[in-house]
Amino acid sequence: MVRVMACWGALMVLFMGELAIATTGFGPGICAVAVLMGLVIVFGFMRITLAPPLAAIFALGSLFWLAILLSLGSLDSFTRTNFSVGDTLSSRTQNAVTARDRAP
Amino acid sequence: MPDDLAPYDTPQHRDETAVAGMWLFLASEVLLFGGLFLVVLVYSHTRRAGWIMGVRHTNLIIGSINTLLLLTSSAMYTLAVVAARAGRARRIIAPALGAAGLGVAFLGLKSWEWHLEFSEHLFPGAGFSISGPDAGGAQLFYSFYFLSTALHGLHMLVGIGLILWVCYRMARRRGQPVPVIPVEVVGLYWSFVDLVWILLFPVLYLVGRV
Repeated sequence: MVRVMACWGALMVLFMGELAIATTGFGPGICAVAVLMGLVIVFGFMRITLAPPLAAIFALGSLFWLAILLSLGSLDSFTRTNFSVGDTLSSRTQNAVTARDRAP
Repeated sequence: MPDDLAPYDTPQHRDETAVAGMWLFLASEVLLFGGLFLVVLVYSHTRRAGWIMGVRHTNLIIGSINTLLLLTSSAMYTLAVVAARAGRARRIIAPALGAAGLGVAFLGLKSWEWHLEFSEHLFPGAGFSISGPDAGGAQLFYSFYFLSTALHGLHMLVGIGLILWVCYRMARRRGQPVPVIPVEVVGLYWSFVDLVWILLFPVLYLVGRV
């Protein structure tokens, strides 16, 4: 019971810290506190250390696949270079509207 | 091997399989919610201005109260799990019902928050109240907001139902040995639902607000 209350207290402190960091607008700090809170829940409430070894393998496996999902899924949008249309890709001659382009 | 244990060798083998099975289910849930977080990662980057505009329209007070409710609910149910492990059946029902009650309060507040958002025309589609060049990004944010909170709310409903089922079982088995595993497995699920909210909360309410 003491352990559960200690974890709850830690979560409250971390939550207040998260709100305090949010007032500064420091996004990575907010995310770091959220991850810490998640660890308190996994180790304090869900007791992953007391679970059978297979459960730990499942938990680590889910993180592994999650990492693949997030990294491969976001790869395109984080590495793509956007050129504004009009500066480089179009010009008056290329986009000239001819009589054939017009709808009858 | 006793017949009532088949296909397990020992009671410990049976219990460990049940707990490991729950973790496997939770691993699949991680990937389900992972898809939602991929949406955040991509669109908060590619449609940043509109996304932030959406974050600034969410109700931080209701979101914060809901977070406190859910953290407390998870702690209360963990007290029920501790009591089950100690074989104290009488100390299971009260904290479990408290946890379910806080879960209901969470859903009530979330419903009120949705009501406010619908009345402010923040549901994506025709008549969306945020206008301007970044309105598309804001609509993407609110699409994510309603989808993720609905999915999380559905999990909450299932969790509350499971907790009530545990309470019902405990109430019927008064005077008999406490079955620990059902209480523990439901606790894993309830804590996971709490964990998902802890990760959703900063994404929906905090990152980009200031």
